[in-house]
Amino acid sequence: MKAEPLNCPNCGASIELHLSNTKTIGCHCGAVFDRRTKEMLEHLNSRKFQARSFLELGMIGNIFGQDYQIIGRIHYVNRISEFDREDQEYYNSNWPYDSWILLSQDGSYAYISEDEEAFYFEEPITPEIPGFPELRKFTPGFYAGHGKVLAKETSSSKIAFFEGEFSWQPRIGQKSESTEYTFGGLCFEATKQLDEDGQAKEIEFFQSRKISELALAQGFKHEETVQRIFKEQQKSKEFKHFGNIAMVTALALAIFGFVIKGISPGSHVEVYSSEVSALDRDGKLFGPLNLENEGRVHQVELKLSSMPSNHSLIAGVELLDSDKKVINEIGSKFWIGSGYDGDRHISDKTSFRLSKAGSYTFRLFAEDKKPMNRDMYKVQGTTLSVKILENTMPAYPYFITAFWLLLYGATIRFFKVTNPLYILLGGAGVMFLIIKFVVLLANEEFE
Amino acid sequence: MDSLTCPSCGASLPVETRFVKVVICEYCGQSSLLKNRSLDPTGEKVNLASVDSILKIGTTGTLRGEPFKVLGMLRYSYEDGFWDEWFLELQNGKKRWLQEDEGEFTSFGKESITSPIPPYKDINVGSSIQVNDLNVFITEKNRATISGGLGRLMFQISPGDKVEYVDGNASGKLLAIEFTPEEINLSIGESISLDEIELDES
Repeated sequence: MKAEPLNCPNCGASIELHLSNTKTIGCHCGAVFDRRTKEMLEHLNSRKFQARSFLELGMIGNIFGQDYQIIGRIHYVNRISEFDREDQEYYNSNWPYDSWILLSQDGSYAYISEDEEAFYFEEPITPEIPGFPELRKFTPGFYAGHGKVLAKETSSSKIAFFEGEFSWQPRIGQKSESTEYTFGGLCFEATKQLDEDGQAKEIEFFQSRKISELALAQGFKHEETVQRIFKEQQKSKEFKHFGNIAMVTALALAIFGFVIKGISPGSHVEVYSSEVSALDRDGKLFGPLNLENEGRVHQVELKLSSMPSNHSLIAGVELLDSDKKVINEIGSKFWIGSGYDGDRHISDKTSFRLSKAGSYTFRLFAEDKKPMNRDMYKVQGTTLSVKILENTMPAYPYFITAFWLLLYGATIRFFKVTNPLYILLGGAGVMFLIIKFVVLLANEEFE
Repeated sequence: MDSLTCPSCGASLPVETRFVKVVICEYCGQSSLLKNRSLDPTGEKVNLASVDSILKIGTTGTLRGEPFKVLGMLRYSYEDGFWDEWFLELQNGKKRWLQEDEGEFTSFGKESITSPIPPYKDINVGSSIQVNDLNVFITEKNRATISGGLGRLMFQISPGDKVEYVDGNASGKLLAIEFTPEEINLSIGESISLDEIELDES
């Protein structure tokens, strides 16, 4: 690839040309001029469309075993319609990207497409089954030859900026339409170049493959980027271990929670029950019950037996000490629903630490709420029962902590998060949960 | 092999094949008709800008293993640049055109048209048309100008002449249909990778 020097008629910068058939030159200052006449064609806003990666014009490198030199860059702004196969819907977004033009030693072209997420290496091809797969609702693809072409996304692009040398004349606002599709496990792109009237004048086909930033940086021998990526990878590896530890801890916590749940069902103290139809909003007293073990955790479980569908009921229990003072209570709306969104809520529980041994009574109450127009309606055949257990240990703090810890660890582990702010904030959140539950467990201030 | 003299600059111009009708001097760009073993400077004098190419007039080598010699070259220009078509004589005497466009090569041979071809204006990029027994997906439609040529050609060229063309793909075969006021030409070919062209050491 020989270089011919030339000076920009606008800024005077020395420009190396590599093509013998260069028609248009875009200088980094934004000046676009004709190679032969040096006539200024337009002036582009070069500051607005700076390249985002380490790639730059003139770089020489080896990609997939072939030597290339970067001779141009076109910045496109495109509008993507992506078809979601699960939702069977299109999602639109605007997506800027750079297309770097690579010239090989033998004069052939290849391209690197760079957006904010990834790099793709693209080579022009002559497909055996040509077509322009377009996304159509419910048929995002077509059958061609021996297999199905699956269109992934379609986009319409406009040239927003360009620099370098071109054997043709790019124009700002020049439109093209592209479809990315897969066929036989390979990724392809068909691009339709449009003229000023929006009519297609050419369709070009490319085979594309993803290329990592590291492979590109190594290919173009950009040591600074290679070192940065190595450092990031090292950091990511360390954080990966951190994520692993978080996940293992989460698993241990969950297992511990199950163990607690299994070994600490609580010892049975007493059960009181009553037909709901025999209760009203003032309730009925049960007991007295002697609770003697001061400082022990006690649990009160309130449960309804089955109830007709689409009924609801306000029911509860109050725990009264010998002075008839309420020391704990449950009051809740219980229901059984049916149909598409049917669900049920027929039990509830509360825990408390017994601060004073003594004689306690329980007031059970219930109030029908359904059917709406029958105030005096009583649910028949439904029993409200209250069970008192001693020495229980709640497991849910372990499960909740395990869940968040697992989420935290998995995000670091699988999404390769190395952002210290996330690590710190996420870690602080999990620590807050742990401390909160430790305090709650210590004080038995839970319900 | 006959050697003739350029009527414009006096350069020696060898003519090896009896099919040659036009000789374009590689030195001064003078286009001359070959008549009665002498050159008649009827054509225009066009100097084409030289471009980097592995081929030049007189280059010999093999194309997919078949020996060839470059006799001439035609250059077409269009709004987005230009492309060259190298006129090759194969060892068996057959002629091929090797199109070179931005480093990509396509080998074309002229074919007879055995079925009606829609008018240029009715053909759209992205649609399919029937040509002979082929279903052709149209990939390009444009207008070009003959910029000039070099070496020996089988027909007279007039730089500045306009042609309308469509390119297509029929199951991997590449088709080029050229519309001029006088005729419609059909060429069918294949994409050629660089490692399928081997050049003799000169």
